[in-house]
Parts: sequence; C-alpha cells; structure tokens
Amino acid sequence: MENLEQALSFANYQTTLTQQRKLLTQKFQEASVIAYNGGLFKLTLEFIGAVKLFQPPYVLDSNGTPVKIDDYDTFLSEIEEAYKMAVESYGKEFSALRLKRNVKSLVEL
Amino acid sequence: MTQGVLLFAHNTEEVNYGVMAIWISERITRYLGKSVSLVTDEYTIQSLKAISIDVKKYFDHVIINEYNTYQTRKLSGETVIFKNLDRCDAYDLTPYDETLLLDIDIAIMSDRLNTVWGHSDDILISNKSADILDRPSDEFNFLKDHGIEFQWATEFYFRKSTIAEEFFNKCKFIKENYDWYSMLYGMGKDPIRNDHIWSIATHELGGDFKHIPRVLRYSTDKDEIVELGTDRVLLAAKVNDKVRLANIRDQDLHIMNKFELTVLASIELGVML
Repeated sequence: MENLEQALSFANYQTTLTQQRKLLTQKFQEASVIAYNGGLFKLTLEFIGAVKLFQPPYVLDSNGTPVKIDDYDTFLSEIEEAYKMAVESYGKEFSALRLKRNVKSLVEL
Repeated sequence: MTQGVLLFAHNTEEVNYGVMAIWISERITRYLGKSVSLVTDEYTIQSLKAISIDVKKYFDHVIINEYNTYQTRKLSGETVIFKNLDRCDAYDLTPYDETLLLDIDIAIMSDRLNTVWGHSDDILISNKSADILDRPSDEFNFLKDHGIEFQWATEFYFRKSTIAEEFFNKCKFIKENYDWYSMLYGMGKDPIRNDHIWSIATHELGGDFKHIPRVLRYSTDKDEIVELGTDRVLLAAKVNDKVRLANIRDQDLHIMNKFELTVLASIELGVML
C-alpha cells in the first residue's frame, strides 16, 4: 500500500463491515469466558439458566472438565455479571458499527 | 505458587527481537499485570546496550541461554536468519510454577490471557485461529491434508508437573529427530517449526490437552501495519487484488510482519534502532 488514502479509496465497505462485525463477535465470545475454581466457562443464557435451575454439585466447563462449585451464590453472581458486561459491551459496539457509513469511520480514521 | 510470562528473544543481524521482547513486556505489564522473564543471549543484551537499553530494567528475570543453532526462512519476501529452537527448553528455564509462554510478536491489547492462571489442567494449548483478513487457509488447521491437527506454540500455558515435563521432553525428542518426524507426518523438514513440534507432541501424547478458550487472530508477514497503538492495530493487505482493512481494538493479535513490527515497536518504546 503506497499510502493510506489509496488503501481507503480501494477498500470495500461491505467487506470491511463484515470484517469488523466478525471481530466484535470474537471479542464478545472471549469476554464471555470466565475462569472459576480451575475451570473455564463459556457463558451463554442457556448455561446460566441451567446452573441457576439445577445447581448441581459439579458443573462441566467448556473443556468438559467437571468443576466443583462450593459456593453457588458467588458463582452465579460472577457468571451473571460477566455475561451482562460482555453482552452490553457487544450490543453497544455493534449498534455503533451499524451507524458507520463509510470505510474510514469503520476503521476509526 | 509463582505465575509469570516467559519470552524468548535472540537477535540476528536482520531483526532486533530484543526490542520486540521489551515492547511486549510493557504490554504484558499493562494488560496482564504479571511478572515477565526473558530467555536471551549475550549478543542480544549487547546489541540492546548499544542502543542504550538496559534489558534488566524490563524483566524480572533475564535468563542467559547461548543457543547458536540458527535456521533460515522467507519472511516478507526476504530470507532471514532466526534462532528459536530453544523454546523446547522452556520447562527447564522458566522461573515460575505457572508459566504462560508467549511469542514476542503478539500485540497484547486485552487481559483475556489472564483466564489461564490456576487452571485445573497442567497444560493449555492454542489450536483455534483466524486470519485477521479472512483469507481461507488450511495451513493452521492441519499439518497437511488428512494430517494431524495443528497446534500453536505461539501461546501456551503450563504448570510445573509431570505432565508438562513429559510434554517438553517429547518436544525435545521431536526436535532432535525432526528429519524422521517430518517424513512420518509428511511436512517439510526445513525450517523446523515449533508449531509442528507442538502439534506432533500433542498428538503423540494422546491429544487430550485442553485449549486456551479463544481464537488466536493472526496477520501474515505480508500484511502492512498502517497504525500501531497501545490498544489498537490497523492493518491493510491486498486480497485477490482488492484492498482489505482490519481495525483491531482491545483484542490481541499475532503479527507476523516482524520487519514493520520491530520499527513500530521501537517507536512506541522511544528508541532509535
């Protein structure tokens, strides 16, 4: 690329938008993982709901390893808080991205 | 239980890996807040001293490992020399009970790697990756068509334990017998790739290692770094004759364009190369 202006004029809006959306999705997926008692949990609404409902003595983490949950109140508050934060941030950034109508604004220039 | 990040950097005439190690150590301190140690050699220390950098200021431990075996490979269209095969000695060299082994060409821009500490497994490996500009490639999925799964040595967590020791012993054995292994697994024997060593070791030890729960984003050695900030990177590249841009913010990125990265890292650090 000889210069940035040239790059910007040749870059395609739809491709760049798709690219940035993918990055946001990956960011959300990473932010929805928490470490707890030696396990790593990918948080989803289904997971949180099931944990809340059944409160089993062991919960399988994202790698399929059973992790003992000693204190359900703490665990539930941690996973709910982490998920809320992740989804809120994802929602805000996703909405902001939709308003960007050219390549320059998509890549924050 | 001590925890920390271990880096390897051996300068060559073409690339100042020492500067990159300092660059990433600053980011590790900022985003992960962990102790950082460096495995290096006297040549690297002296070449950093020549540009007024006292390497000991930036690391909790500087571990000297004079490793003179070098390899060559094409990077950004140029043939370069590099020395990276002492990575297999990480288990013996690390000063920590829990170690996160990282390549020095990762732009750390988040705290996501902190999820690995205190994990119940002794090893966590990285095997899911994505090209930042969405170019289709199987290079980082399997060692070859119908071959074994590709595993990255770029980011790797281990705890001092029998399992981790066995893993690194296996890595050393594969490295020493790479000709044979390259024939067995059908990949090129030159240069020796740490990722391939890690992939074969994982496979031969049963393949049942848990994963670092994230996608390792990477850019290739031909991608242009348009901007490099402390919390964002803007990249550009030609894909099928069309320009593609990617703006990465608050997410980590493995940057393979070492030439540009070294220059930009030195600017970020305020040193003249």
